[in-house]
Amino acid sequence: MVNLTSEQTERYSRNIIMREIGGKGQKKLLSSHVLIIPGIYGELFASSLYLAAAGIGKITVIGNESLISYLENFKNEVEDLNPDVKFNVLPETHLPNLQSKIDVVITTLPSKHEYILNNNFIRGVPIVLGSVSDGKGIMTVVSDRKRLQTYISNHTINNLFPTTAGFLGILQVVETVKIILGHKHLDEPERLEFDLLSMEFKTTRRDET
Amino acid sequence: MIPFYSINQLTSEEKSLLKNSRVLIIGAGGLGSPVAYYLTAAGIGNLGIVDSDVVDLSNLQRQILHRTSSLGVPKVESAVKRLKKINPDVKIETFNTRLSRDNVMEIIQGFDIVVDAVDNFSARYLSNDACVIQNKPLIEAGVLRFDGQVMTILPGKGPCYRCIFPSPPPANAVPTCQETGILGAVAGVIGVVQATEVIKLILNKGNPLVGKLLIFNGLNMEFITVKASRNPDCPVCGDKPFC
Ligand SMILES: [Zn+2]
Repeated sequence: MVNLTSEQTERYSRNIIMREIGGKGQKKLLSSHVLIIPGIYGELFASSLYLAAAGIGKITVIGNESLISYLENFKNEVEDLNPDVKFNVLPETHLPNLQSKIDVVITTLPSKHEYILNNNFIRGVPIVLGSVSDGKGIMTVVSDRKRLQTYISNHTINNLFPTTAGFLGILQVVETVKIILGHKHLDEPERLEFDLLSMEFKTTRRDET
Repeated sequence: MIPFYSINQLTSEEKSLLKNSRVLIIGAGGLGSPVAYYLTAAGIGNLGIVDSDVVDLSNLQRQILHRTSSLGVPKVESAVKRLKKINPDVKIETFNTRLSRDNVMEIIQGFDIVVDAVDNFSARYLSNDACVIQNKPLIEAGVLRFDGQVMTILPGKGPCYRCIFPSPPPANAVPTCQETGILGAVAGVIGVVQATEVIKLILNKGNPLVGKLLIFNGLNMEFITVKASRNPDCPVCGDKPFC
């Protein structure tokens, strides 16, 4: 991995000073590639901005022509927040031709989950998965397809409180950064459940399930 | 076709409540960024933003309201530019100044709810004391490393910041985020909780974090709530204030 420039050392100084990241971790983040398979706009915006701020080198969003043109301005915003980041929206047919391997997938139900399940290109890649409804949400990390299949059955979504999708999207970034850095993270059936209206939270651990 | 859901569950009555409310955000940094972003997106009609800094390169790993092209620009100015793109109708009053004993009472006067998004103790105690005196709800938060905490202060209905932390720690006793670092997304999580509390208060929905301190540990992906009660001897909101 190449060394950090003096500008990068300054930009990421609040990351680098933490022992959980350091210069080595920052270089890892810069050379990583996160794929977003969007389910909800609010989540897509929130995760993209915070992934970019952290210095995730490549962010790819899967979307159709209308999403690509919709996100044209947003691409400029993300890359102006951090020019170290390449943010691209690609049709799903491009996925197998991507030049670099994917480190983490972020997605929210309902999305094209059958596509994730059937795509060999992302086999074995950890998926930071979320679902939301009203002010509530669940987040977990899945890398086993059988578990994913169980998880996505019977999923419904209801009207969202204005901050629910953004909250989930940012939590997914925290988990993504930890996965890339090799820290302990949620692992289905471990889950975080939240309710922003009652402000109640529950993290289920593996030994409790 | 990817299904997209950007469902707005707000009724027209709720929308007008948000549109007519006035929220002051003290600080346009790591916490102020998501707070301002989400309050604007939710349709809050009138915002006030207090910050005396200019955008610095080391801010951009967490302050999503600012851009590389805005380096050196006053944060309040950079914030307005960004927020107007989200909602061109939002009215924003900017205070390009440091919160002080001399200006705090006047600045908060014109607002219904105050959000504390600062990184230093003197501003934290100033806004707490001023909000208690003017009987205004205050959403208080702090973040460091992978950790954060939030509480909602409703003067007279629950503890204020001084009830729990009676006086500022000695200078240099508590490290700053410059010394210990902060993961940007952790500030994001806490800022969104603050914005959520504001919206809940305006819409009178759910249970606010009154008498409860919400503590987030990002490394464990865990939130815990610690109960707190009013201190009758609190120098600000107690039975005999300022005695
Ligand atoms: Zn008090």
